[in-house]
Amino acid sequence: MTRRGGAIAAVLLRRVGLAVWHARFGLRRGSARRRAFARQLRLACEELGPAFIKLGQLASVRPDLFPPEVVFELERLRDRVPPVPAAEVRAIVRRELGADPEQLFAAFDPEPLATASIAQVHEAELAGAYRPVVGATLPAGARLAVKVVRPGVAAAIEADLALARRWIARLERLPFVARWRPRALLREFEASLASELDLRREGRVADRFARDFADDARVAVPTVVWRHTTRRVLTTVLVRGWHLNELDEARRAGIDAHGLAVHGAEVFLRQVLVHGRFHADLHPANLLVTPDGRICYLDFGIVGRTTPPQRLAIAQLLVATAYGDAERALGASRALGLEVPESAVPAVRDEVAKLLRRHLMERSPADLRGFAIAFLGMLADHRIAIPEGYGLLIKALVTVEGVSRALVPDIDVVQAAKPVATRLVVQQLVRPERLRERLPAAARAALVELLA
Amino acid sequence: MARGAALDPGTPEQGPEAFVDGLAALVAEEKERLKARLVSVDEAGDPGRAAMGETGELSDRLASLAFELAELRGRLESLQAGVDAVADRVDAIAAHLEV
Repeated sequence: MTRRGGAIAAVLLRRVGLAVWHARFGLRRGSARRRAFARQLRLACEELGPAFIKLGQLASVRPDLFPPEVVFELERLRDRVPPVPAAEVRAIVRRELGADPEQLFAAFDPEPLATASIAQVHEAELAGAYRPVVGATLPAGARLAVKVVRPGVAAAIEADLALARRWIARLERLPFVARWRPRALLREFEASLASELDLRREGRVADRFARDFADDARVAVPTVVWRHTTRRVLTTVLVRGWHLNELDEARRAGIDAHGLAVHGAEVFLRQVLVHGRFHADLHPANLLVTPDGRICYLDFGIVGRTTPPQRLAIAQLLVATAYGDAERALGASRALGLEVPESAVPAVRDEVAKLLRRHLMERSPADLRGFAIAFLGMLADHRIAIPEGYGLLIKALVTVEGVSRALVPDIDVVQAAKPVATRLVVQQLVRPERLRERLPAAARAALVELLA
Repeated sequence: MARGAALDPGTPEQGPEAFVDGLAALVAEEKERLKARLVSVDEAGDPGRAAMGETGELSDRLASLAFELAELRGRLESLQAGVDAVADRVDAIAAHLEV
């Protein structure tokens, strides 16, 4: 075993030991036991560095693959890494953009604004005016955020993945491991990681998002400066504001937190139901509230997509859930690929109705997160596979609730989103192409009724 | 139980029955809006309707085309930055060899 392999094995063994201890050697049952293991898994990822932190973050948006306790614990993954020395940052900028930062920018701060496991961000100043893909021309002197991928990260991730490939080749001989399809899972994670390390992709998604919400004065997206952007460097306009843990100051400055929370939920629904792409990694660090009262979306690393038929089904699912209609919720879920065996339908419908009542209808404010954990757990109990997009959507909705609660602790996001969700459903239903599609069936039904 | 148009759009009571009622109210509202739009277009006459439709469609397509072109320009600028970086490295290697 290599040195790195030994280090990983040692951390995993120690964490499994601690998890067994916290689960009282298996005496704790069900969710409590899974929570104990999930916590140690998160701490192991934080200890093992960038590749594991990134893998954990990717796993945290996949409730279709992992138990809900693991998914919701991994979203708390935090990376604590020292900043890259200024000389190395200069070297990366030179290698990526062909000149030193001082030649490219009017000013460049060698001290990072923020550091994370994959990249760190430096403040800079635009040297000459720039016409971006979306929005007005940026004047010379505009403040910029230059995101630089840390040196050696790609190689470190590749080394860990190579190790994982070797381990999986051995471990998948065990039936218990094989049923998780670890090889396919690893391939999927490799593709996601490669795509996240290419910052041009994030820039393109940001541009599309900015275009989608160009008509919404309360949404801000950092403008991309493409002439200073490559695979490993992303340059955008620097947006200043408050993170969601600094909102006391924002409230003192007169920001309408409740209005922003409600509007944030509406923006999310528009992403899913109208534009067909949504920010799927909306943790508090990826959002800012600006001094002029806008919500600024950052870091478009993980994005979900919906097709037009899915959008209609999602709209129906959301409204049915908000109104506690288990029958319609299951019907719309079926349209989204959730296959409930015929024999299990009555039991699943009853349980969904019970969960809707317990977590959403009879509780004020509604507890979307509690509902999601119980709902996903119930599907797992019935051995019902969760389609990837379906799981991602549920996770994203729960995150929207979390973000809204960070703004207004007692907000009922289900009630707040109900009018806009209903309106969007109607807009989807009365679209001309949808009406044309349904007209023949409606005419047939009318004829049957007339001739009866 | 209030039904259909008697309910305010988007704020029905809880429950599946109320959901259908609220939906009906919203459909009615949407229908009225569409009817009002058609009437205003009819008053402008057929050529006016065609021109309005065509202008709107053309404007959407132009906006879409402008965005696609701007996106393409962004990609080219990024490629240019990459080429500049390669040229800089080639210069550095040449300078090193001369020394």
